[in-house]
Amino acid sequence: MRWKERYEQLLPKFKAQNKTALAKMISLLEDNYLQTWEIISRLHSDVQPKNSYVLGVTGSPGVGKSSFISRLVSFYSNKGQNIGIILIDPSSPFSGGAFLGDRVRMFDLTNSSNVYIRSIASRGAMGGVCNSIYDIIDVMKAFGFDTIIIETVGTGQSEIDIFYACDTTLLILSPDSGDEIQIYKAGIMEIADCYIVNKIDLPNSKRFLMYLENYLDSQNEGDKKVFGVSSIENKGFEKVYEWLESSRKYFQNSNLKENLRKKSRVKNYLFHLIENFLEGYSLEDQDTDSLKKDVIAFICEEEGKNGNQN
Amino acid sequence: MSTRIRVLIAKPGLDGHDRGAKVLARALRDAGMEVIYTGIRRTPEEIVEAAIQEDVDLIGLSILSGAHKKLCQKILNLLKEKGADIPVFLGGIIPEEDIPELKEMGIIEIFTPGASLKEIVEKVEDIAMERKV
Repeated sequence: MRWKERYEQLLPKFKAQNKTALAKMISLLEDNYLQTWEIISRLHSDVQPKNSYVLGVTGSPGVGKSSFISRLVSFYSNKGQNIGIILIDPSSPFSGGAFLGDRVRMFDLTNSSNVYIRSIASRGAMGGVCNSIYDIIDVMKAFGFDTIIIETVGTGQSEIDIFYACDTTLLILSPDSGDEIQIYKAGIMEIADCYIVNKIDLPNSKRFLMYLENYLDSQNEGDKKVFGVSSIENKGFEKVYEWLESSRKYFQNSNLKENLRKKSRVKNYLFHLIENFLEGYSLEDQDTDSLKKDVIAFICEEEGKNGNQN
Repeated sequence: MSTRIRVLIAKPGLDGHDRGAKVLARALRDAGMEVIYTGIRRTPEEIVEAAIQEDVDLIGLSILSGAHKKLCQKILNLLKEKGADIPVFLGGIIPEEDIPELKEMGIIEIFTPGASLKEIVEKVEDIAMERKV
């Protein structure tokens, strides 16, 4: 079925807050990436998006991002907020398939009527999120969530795209994340608005928290926050929740990221277009000169088609 | 339209032996599918709600506990109740004599011990693609 018919079919249920329609609207975007901007602009004219608060949760694999989110969301849920959660896991560079396993730690939330959880594969994106992230956020805003939480792929030091996509970035660390030198490195350590040291039930956590505080003092970044939590023991979450809620308006109304976000979105879209186009080429067979010419011709054609739309 | 297949692999009921479910999830991943894995001991309600929220093309259930008839019926009923037209396949320790009844109930395919991963992956692909056309 063509996307326009599908969209028209889904819209009434989507407006009526039906989760099935929301799920299918997200799939519609993921599966029709070349028409994304058309779909989103139509959605914006049909449904007034909410000014949802978008929280990004990032960090290395195994630091406890999913468990942290699960605990934090129960605070939001208990306060009657509607929460949309996006969980991103990597796609295979070989098969394109993915094992999406973050939901396992959030099953307690599955039946909460005010929580929606969607697992998303990165589908080739390398920045720690997925290429459709901006569009999925737009769909969730149109659905009317108060807060949207995004869990990135378990990231390394340079996977920082979440910074552009969300209002506030939380970096989850573990007391065994390394020595003080790791804290001073560029990349992921710089993008956080708030550092969460999970697993404070582990030894060495006090020392690690002290390293972080010293680092922030030395950088004159006093407005950045550090919290220690333990997901296993369910400790420390209230303070994180209170800080997030007290600074919600500040982050939502800050225009600092707006231009960066737009640029990042366009860049993302163009990369994905090219990626889509390249998928048809085999790495072994293609003669590079003709591939280069084909890519340039393709971009010029797509630019002509989409250049005036937003 | 993308041909990316999304499958939910779930273990309903009380048994905690999920090696088979994980091996199958990995085989489906290696065949290019996006697999949402639920972990062990999920209720039918949780499985159906997750399948709806994840917009999957298929649900795969792994059951070794002997409670397959009851659990499958509950899951199929819930899907119907919620208007979710998602096919369900089943794998695990399923006695031969129960298979006709399970198929009658609406389980689209049943894999018993000895079924090869290749066979399961191909079947899953066929069922999903047939519905995507």
